[in-house]
Amino acid sequence: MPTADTPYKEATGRRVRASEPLHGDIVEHLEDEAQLLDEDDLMGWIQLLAEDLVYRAPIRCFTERGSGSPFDEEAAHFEENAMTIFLKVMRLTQTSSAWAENPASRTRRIVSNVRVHETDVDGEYRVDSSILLLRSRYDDTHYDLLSGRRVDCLRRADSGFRLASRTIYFDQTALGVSNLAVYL
Amino acid sequence: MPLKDVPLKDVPLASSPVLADGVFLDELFDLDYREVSMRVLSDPEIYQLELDRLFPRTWNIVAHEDEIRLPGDYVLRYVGEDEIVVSRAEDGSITAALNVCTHRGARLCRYEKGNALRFTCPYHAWAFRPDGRFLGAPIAREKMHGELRSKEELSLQSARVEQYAGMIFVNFDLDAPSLRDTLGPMTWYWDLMFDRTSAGMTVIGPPQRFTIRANWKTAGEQFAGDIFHTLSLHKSMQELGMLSTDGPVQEPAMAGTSAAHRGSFVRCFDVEEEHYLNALKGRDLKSLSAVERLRMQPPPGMSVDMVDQIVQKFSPEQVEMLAKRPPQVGSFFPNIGGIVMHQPLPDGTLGAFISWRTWVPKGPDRFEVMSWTVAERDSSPELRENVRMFTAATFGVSGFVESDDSDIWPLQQKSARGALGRRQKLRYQTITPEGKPEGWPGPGDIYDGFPKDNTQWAFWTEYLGHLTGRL
Ligand code: FES
Ligand SMILES: [Fe+2]
Repeated sequence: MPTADTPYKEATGRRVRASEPLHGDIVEHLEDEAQLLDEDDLMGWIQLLAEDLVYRAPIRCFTERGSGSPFDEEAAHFEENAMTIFLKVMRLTQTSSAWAENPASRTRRIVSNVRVHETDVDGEYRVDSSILLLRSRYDDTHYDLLSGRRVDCLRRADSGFRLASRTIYFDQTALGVSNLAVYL
Repeated sequence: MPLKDVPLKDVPLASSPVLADGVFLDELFDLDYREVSMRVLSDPEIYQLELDRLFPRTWNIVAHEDEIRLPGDYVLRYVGEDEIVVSRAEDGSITAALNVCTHRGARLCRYEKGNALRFTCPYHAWAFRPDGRFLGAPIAREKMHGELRSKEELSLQSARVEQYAGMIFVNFDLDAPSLRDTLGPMTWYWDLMFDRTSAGMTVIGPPQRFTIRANWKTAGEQFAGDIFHTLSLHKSMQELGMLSTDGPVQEPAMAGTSAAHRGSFVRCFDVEEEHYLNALKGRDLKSLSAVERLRMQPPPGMSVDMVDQIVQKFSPEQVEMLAKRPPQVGSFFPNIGGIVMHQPLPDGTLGAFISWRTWVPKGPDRFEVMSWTVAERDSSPELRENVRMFTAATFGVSGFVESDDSDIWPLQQKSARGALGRRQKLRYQTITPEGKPEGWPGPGDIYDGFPKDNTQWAFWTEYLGHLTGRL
């Protein structure tokens, strides 16, 4: 039973069981997506995004247990649409001076605990997953580490799926990273 | 016998501190050559001096008034590494007190925000008002706070609180000049950024917080006037065509005038030379009056219907300034920044980004960016949404502008760790003679033209003054 602190609305549609082929298709899609991002194939990644994409991470505070969602409804670490994501991807891939990722950092995305539910919209699925991002820059042995829960809306497309929305609920209130010039 | 940890206000300041190896702090600053030893970025002793001498004695920005609207509302914030509770009292006033229980030092309030008219310490249940007043310890008959200290003496240490443009500032130095006096002439410019309407600005949610693995002064000195880095560090924006290279000045964002005062800074961008605002591109601006220009392209985060308020609120000189040389980025000494800018977008529209920010020290080689997004209270939902999205998209942890800054600052820090590196210098040797352009109406120290090192050097001389007790 979720408490009042549950930051995200629980799914209401039918649970797609892990034994169903659709579940496997979606897990494969998330793994392929993580692979594209790990390999710094941003142009490949944006092919997986829907035109009406919303990609966001609300700001979290540490609040008294039982006092409601710790996430702010408006304030966000980022809130992108297809245009701003495209702009950022252009910057990273088409310019010589996007220093935040030049040289590229090495990243690893561990995606797990995937749960899939049907939604009211045919062909759209609510997909929850845990994400752990490890990012290594230069010859520094320190890792940027970010963990969180992702709540996605995946939409069936001609081939595979498109990401229609992704909300990332980070576990940290003050993010322990210098920047987030990478996606997760 | 009183304890030997001298209260901060009594720490003697009338000398240049001597570091463990016998070097005087003064000796790390070459006033003739305008150089600063990079040791100031990495030395833990200097960092400790800053915690003692700088942050408790300067004005720290801690919250926006709308974060604590109702009586009892509070937020936790920082002054240096000291955590404070900023609260709204029942009479509507705002108070700030050190979040350290006077019994045995536990963290008194343990939630980042909430509503409470009293805080009870989780450790042994001593109770305090949010303004710091000690209410009592439990089990009165057992005299659990003893009789040696009065209740007054057992209150939390409280700070002075002042406001500017809706932001709350605190200072633990009872003798420091007021916030207004400290800002001094800079408010003439900053009002044009953050205090433009009768309703004023509100804040969009709690501040964004993220951690940069560098000394806070890497950001502090940059925001004190390093406009020049835009050409190189932010060149990707130029490559994407997001900074215009049209007009007689080939280097975008370099035409304008800087105003400074006691280590604080503001940059007024010359919109006639640059045409970097798409909406004004190709227009013959010179034939338009200030108000006509503002109507054609209102300042970031404002709509056309708000322009009348500008005219009512400001002097004709300020209106002229806003239309022709709007102040857009600046800093308040030592660790506060402000940005009010437009970003032309590929679809021909403008994004607006508006932010107050502070660099909170977290050790010699770590600081936290705490950044508030603010918008006009009267702005339409669309305008508010624009400010909300584009402030995050440009500045902040994933911003395509700031993510390059936050990559370079840790690299400066890495340089300052090496035995050779920390003996290298930060250099401020390109200087504009002070001089107001003809008819310049604004106060402060004025440097016209291509931005040079004057104002950043002034950051360091102000810094040295604070750390050596000359200020
Ligand atoms: S430390 Fe707070 S009551 Fe003892
Ligand atoms: Fe920058």
